[in-house]
Amino acid sequence: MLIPSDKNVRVRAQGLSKWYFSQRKNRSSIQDAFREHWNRLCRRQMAEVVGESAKPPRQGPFEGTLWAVKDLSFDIKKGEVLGLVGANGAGKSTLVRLLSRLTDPSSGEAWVEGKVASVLEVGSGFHPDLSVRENALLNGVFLGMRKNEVQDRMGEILEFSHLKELHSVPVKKLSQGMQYRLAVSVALHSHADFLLLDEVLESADRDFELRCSERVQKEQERGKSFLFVSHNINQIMLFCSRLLWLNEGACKMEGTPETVLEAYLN
Amino acid sequence: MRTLIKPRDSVIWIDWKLLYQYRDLLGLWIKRDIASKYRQTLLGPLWFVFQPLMTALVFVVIFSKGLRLSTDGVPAALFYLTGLIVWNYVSQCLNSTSMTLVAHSGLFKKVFFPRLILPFSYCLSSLVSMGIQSGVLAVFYLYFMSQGAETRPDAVVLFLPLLVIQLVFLSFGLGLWIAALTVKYRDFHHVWSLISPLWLYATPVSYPLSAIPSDWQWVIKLNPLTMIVEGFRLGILGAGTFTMADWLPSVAFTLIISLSGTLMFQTVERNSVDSI
Repeated sequence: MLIPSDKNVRVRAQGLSKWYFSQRKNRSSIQDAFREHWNRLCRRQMAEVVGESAKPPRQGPFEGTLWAVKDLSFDIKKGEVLGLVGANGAGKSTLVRLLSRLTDPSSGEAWVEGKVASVLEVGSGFHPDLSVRENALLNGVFLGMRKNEVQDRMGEILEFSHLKELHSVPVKKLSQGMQYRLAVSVALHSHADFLLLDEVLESADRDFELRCSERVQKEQERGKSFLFVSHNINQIMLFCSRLLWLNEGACKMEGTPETVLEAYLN
Repeated sequence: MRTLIKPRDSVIWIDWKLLYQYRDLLGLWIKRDIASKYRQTLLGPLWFVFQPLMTALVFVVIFSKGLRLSTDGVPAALFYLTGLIVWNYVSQCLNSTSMTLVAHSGLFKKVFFPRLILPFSYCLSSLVSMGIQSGVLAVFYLYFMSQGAETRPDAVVLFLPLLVIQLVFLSFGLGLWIAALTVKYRDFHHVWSLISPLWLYATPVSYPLSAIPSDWQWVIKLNPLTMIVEGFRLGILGAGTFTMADWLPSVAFTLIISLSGTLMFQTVERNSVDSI
């Protein structure tokens, strides 16, 4: 499938789907694996006798399929912040994981113009014994930056997270909120053209929230795009320029934050 | 540059471009690994010195003094230490590499990066402890030479860098295989803890290859580690059995195991993300 290009588009998804097999048992031991192989062999033998096709439909969804994301098509323009709303289990996190390349779609395609970075959990990859500065460096590299690129921005990152005086303190001595600020600051200073933030600002204080929104706006003007997942209505209004409402893996509504939120909250 | 997101192919090849993009991660993770090992330990790197010394002492008492096994005419302590340096590297690598997917499952679920970098960085960071242990060997070497031992290096010592590279890739490939199998079936962890000591005794660490009857040497030579250990001994101590004809098959085996391990690891890692 070839998806048409567009100069103003940062992300384009077409028919993006992800399904899981809920009935197929996970083979957890070697015993199970042997049993499954044996059953499959028997079935094949039987099928040859009866003359049926022995292969179960492997490529497509069949009975017992759990759709996490169902046939999603959307664009995110350059400089846009797309917000995702929806109930728990609506597929928000799966969509974020698909676009972060943490898991592959079952069908459909998407492309992102430029580099992708994502923060799904604050502090992944942090080592408690390493200092703030060392962890920021490691985190930046995990987000796809070169070492010297992070070092060049280290001053800004520490300034932004208000951790300048604490730069040589081991991360384990920081409060949870401080660790949050550090991780988010590194992400907001990354070179990625498309940044995904999955519920990472939930516990930010008002002051940090505003600083982040200011920073995001500045990056938007440079053409960076964002995907923002949150349950916090204030933050959604503060950050997002457009909203996508997911329900059972499919798009239920798309539009300006005001209109979608009004429908979503009622 | 455009990032594509599409359904997975059945075999995942090595993404060299991505590895190159993330090359800085390698060094940083090695640093992190080393730092995390020493912080909050009393003796720090000294542990790497004690461990082979104790094992070598046990070997000297049991195999050399007790069972009177040959050490190819080399002082027993030097003989065992050289073999143990190689063996310790392999066992340390395999322990950390094989647990990568289990120990860092949180990271693998939440952060995108080329997965191969972590196991490879473990194989490189284990070289540090190997270096420290080589220092210990050097000290003993000088001591025995000052005592008048006739032990001298052989020209094979020039092969040592190649043998070290082979050692790294062999441990890397085997570690990836064990990692992949452990993720699929946790039983494999127990299987491995059974195989590992057996493997040590199938490797000429506590005895020289020359002590094996020549009719049966081919069995021990099937073990890819044999030629590495013997090469180390011949190079450093001037006593060992190392021939091109025996070495090249073990190099071929190393290449196959590291390539197949890589593909296996990547595919299993990708599948394990999806299993709930």
